[in-house]
Amino acid sequence: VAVDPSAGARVDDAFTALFVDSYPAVLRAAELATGDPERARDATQDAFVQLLVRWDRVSRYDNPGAWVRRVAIREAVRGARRDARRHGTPSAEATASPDPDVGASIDVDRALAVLPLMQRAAVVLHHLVGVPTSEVAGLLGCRPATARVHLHRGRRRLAELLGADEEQPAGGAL
Amino acid sequence: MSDERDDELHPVVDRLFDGVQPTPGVDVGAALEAVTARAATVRRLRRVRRIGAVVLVAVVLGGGATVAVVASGDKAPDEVVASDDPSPGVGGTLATTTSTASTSSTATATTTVPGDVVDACPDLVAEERDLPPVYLPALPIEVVIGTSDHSPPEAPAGASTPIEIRVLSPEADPSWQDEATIDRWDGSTWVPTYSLHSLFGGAPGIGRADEAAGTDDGPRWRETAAALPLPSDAAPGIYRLSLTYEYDVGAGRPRWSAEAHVVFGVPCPEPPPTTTSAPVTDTITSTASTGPTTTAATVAATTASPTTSSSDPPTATTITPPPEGSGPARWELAPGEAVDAATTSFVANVTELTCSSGRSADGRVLAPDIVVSADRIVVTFRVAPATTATSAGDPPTTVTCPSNPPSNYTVTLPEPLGDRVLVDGDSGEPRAG
Repeated sequence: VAVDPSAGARVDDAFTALFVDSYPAVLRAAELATGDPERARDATQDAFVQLLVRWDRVSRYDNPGAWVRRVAIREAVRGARRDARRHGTPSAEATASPDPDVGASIDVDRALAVLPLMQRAAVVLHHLVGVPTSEVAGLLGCRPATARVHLHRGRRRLAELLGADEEQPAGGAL
Repeated sequence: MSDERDDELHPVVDRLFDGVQPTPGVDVGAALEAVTARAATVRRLRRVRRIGAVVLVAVVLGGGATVAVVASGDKAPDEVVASDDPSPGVGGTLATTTSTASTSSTATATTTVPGDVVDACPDLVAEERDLPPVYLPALPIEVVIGTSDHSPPEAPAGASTPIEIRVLSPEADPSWQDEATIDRWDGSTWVPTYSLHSLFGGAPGIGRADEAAGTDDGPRWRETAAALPLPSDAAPGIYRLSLTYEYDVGAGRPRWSAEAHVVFGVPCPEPPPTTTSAPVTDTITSTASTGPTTTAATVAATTASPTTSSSDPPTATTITPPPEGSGPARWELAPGEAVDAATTSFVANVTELTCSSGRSADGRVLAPDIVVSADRIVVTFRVAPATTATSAGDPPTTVTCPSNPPSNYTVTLPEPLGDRVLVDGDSGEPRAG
């Protein structure tokens, strides 16, 4: 990766290494959490900007990559909810795609598409990113009990979906 | 929800994510350039933009302790009114004056500080809070950190109005009142910085927009966003934003408040210690009070001592959220029960509001939340749920909704009632006094 150092903020090698190593994965997590690639791209960029601005501090954390992944998902979900409210849609929580065709191969994108935003975000945070249940609420901006409900309902819905397609590979590799 | 059944779902869902690959085809180099360029812009915005006049007000507390309330720019704190002129102070020279009571000695130090610095700490800032749904509709409050879409047009170029409050407010309620206050943490206590009134009452004005009317919570409610200017002192530090509002005034409704912590211009402090009784995201309180500074949470914050270092924000988490699964209840004085100024105990007739098949709430009434303020004592009951699972994994038994019989509960007040009003916290209605 060649970066013109005069074009932006000073970056050190450790930040560059982290960026190169984790940016596509963070972007993927944000995409999965929201189902909106454009929003995910913006949120991921925002998250890395925040990371760079705070690099002196965050770089001392045990896992700066986990920090930026959480921030990216949080920003993506928050933006989606805000837009839903702003544009008068019923609610971000109620938006989900119809079930995919029974019998079709279920990949992770199509499976998550059946979930409303908060459920899919909770599932991605917990099962893909590894965020403890107790911390999901803080990232989603809701109460812990609400987060638990989102997580449970999301799991149950996915299990129903995957149960109907048990013989198919469920992996999300593209 | 059955935890056992839920646990069985984990591996199923985990398998779904097996083999998830990073997004392919990403131009990482271009992305890194974009990020570094934006980060440079953010850093530039953090530098001082304008040196303004400094208005200094020193407030001297008893015992020689001194709190300085400092404003830069053209306005003293009391003159900042959002609906008329929300121009933010944008950086400047911060003068710190210390004074001591009954002496004339004054020392002044001048420091250049960044003006429009905003730091949103993921581990600290709670950005959306739901108020207890005691009086429907519950009003969600969202505090957005960053430049508001509703920045007032007269704000200086490059200035920011970094705090945006989003709330449901009534379409038409002339009695609506609100007040937003911003306090700064000086290491041991919250120092009032300034307050804004009528952010959400009346028609939209500068820095305020109504974004949706007739929300899911009912046709009378609109979603409203208002921009708050940067605190005019703009000193780096930890600030507390509190919003207190009141509506249907005259109907005896309690006053509600919400608060959030925001951080300007200092590194994010470490997350609050885990020994707190509730996460920061739950530091919402509802309480009847005579003003925003007398809410339970505010009092707790004011008196709390930092637990790790002087730079840590107080956690202010003395408010315990309602027990999970509990339901609301209303109460009245039991028949024949009378109270007077000397009363410290009385029997309440508690009626569960949640469907419970007409079963008595005897034994399920939880200890009430009692909030004492200058003019009222608010007693709020909740009742543990009547639903019970027949065995592990079975769904709970269904309940029906005939009217519920009242249950007697003896309430002990922390102090005599005095000349205050005794209020049912659920309905907001006075019961005695």
